[in-house]
Amino acid sequence: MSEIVVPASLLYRSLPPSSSLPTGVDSLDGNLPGLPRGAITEISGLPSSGKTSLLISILAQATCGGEICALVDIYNRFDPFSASRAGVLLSNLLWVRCRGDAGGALKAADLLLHGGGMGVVCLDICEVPARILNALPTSYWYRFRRAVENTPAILLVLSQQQNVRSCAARTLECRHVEISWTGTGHARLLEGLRAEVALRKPAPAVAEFSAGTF
Amino acid sequence: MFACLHASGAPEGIEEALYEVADHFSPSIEATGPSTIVFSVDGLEKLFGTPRELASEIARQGAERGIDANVAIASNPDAALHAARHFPGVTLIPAGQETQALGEIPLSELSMPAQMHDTLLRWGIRTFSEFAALPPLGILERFGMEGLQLQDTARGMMQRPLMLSRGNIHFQRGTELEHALDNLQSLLFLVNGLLVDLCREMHRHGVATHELRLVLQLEHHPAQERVLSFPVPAREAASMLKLLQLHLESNPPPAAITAFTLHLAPVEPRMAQSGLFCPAAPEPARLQITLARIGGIVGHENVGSAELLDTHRPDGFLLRPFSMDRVRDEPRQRKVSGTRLIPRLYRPPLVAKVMLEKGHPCRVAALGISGNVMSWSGPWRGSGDWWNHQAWGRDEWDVALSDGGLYRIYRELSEQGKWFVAGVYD
Repeated sequence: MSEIVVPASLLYRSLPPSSSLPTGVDSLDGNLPGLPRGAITEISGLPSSGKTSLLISILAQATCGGEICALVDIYNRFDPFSASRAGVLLSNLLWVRCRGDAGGALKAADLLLHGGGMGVVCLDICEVPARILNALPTSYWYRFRRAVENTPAILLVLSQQQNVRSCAARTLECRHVEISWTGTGHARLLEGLRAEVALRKPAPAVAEFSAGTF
Repeated sequence: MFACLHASGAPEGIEEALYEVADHFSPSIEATGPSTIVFSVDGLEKLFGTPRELASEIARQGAERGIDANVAIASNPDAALHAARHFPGVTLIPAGQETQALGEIPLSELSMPAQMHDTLLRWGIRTFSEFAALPPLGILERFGMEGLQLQDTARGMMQRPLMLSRGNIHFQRGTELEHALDNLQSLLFLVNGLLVDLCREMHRHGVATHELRLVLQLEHHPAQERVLSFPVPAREAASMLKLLQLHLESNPPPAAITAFTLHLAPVEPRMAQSGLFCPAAPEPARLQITLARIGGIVGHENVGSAELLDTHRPDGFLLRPFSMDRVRDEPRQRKVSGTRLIPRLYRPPLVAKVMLEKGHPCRVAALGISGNVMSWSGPWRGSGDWWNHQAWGRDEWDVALSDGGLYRIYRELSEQGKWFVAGVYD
């Protein structure tokens, strides 16, 4: 009887997600599935694509639900004032500022996931240069996938380009469609931004949402 | 059997003196008031003889400490308490005779709501015996269970456990070393032994600690004190040792250690009952270790939860240490509907070169950002703190650049009038 050698990467069989977290954006929740718990979701997009607005909406949804969330922020980009006005309970949000240290950010996220009890752990790797991201061991994503598996936690990765790839259970790609203004001349006001969210994984789907100013 | 000591006056230090007397007889002590103490005297017959001899011995111990106190012994704490408060000298109430013994005590001695007291006075009830004689069913109908319990107290029949006081217990251990230690692993090995002992002792006393102090005596250096504060009371030696290890690794002592002392400050343990439908939260002791580890990687000042300051100054917030006490674990309605446009802030802001056309920006260039202004809104002036040295002022613009980005830029209202990119809307 011949031995069959199965590559370790194929041994992983993702279990169907037990529950999901809505994004808090009506137009997305109506058209796209929620964020699966116990899995990695990646939200990517260029600057001004609406990805941070979507992330804050998710954090507001989770913290208002009584969950404790963590934001691992590599370049200290989080604006607590806007987040609070958007509905995020700052007392339920652990903010880790990593001073530009991408390796430290991955370790911090790893510790948070293994510590357990967090509802959403967000790893913000936007603006990290590609040469640094490429130098990071890819085994981290497999490690993260194992760490969140069978837990109620969601690991949310915010990036400019897709990095997590096969380890992500959901991949959302944001793109800005239109910036809207009101008024003319010196009375002109920024009204908001309309963005398109394309679900790349598991099944392609597209929805739009608008993010308005305060 | 319970004994009560009640000092007629309330001189300085009477509370400690009463506790000392009670502690001489029993470990089960209730400090009922500043000049009253109740303690269990069960099983002391073989040591002190009859209740009268026991009461005499209690009075003698009190007199030795200069306490002029009434002593009462009864079958339940409240009967002993009322007897000591009302009758001078030594009072012994045999079991079954509490109602007669306490009968003449005025009703005002019974701690009850003012409305109930007024009602009973209107009925002509003035003493314990008159209250005790009322039909219990009628009391239950008019005053509920509280009235019935008060009537039991007036009859001297109220049975309840003592609310035990702990007194001043010190959880402290120390050791002097034969040879100075110059590595942390050896030190932690020794600390672990003492910490386990102290935690076991705390468990026995039903307390936990919110602060650990480690005093290190150093070779040829002044002594150092390390203080670890815990967000929630803890008594798990393993987690405390891990936190101490992380602390000492990030701030190692400057010289070899010749002796050390551990102090744990006792507090009430944390009582928490999670709701069945509440979301899961990190276990506090484990979370603290996680935060200490993350703090070791990114710096402790970079881990916490943001708290907004009462100011219009841009980016006015404090990063406080994350505390489970401030977490709101009950689901609540989200106050804000719809999605909001959120900026990603550059800290510090990016110095920018901005070209103006007819008073508004037409081109913006900064580190990693460059483009012609396609649409703009502004300027929106903001200023504040002009009454102190932290004055700030700026004209803000929202600009959409040809690179596809939507940015917030501003010009300082200072003489130089420098331009900056504050953030990008995303």
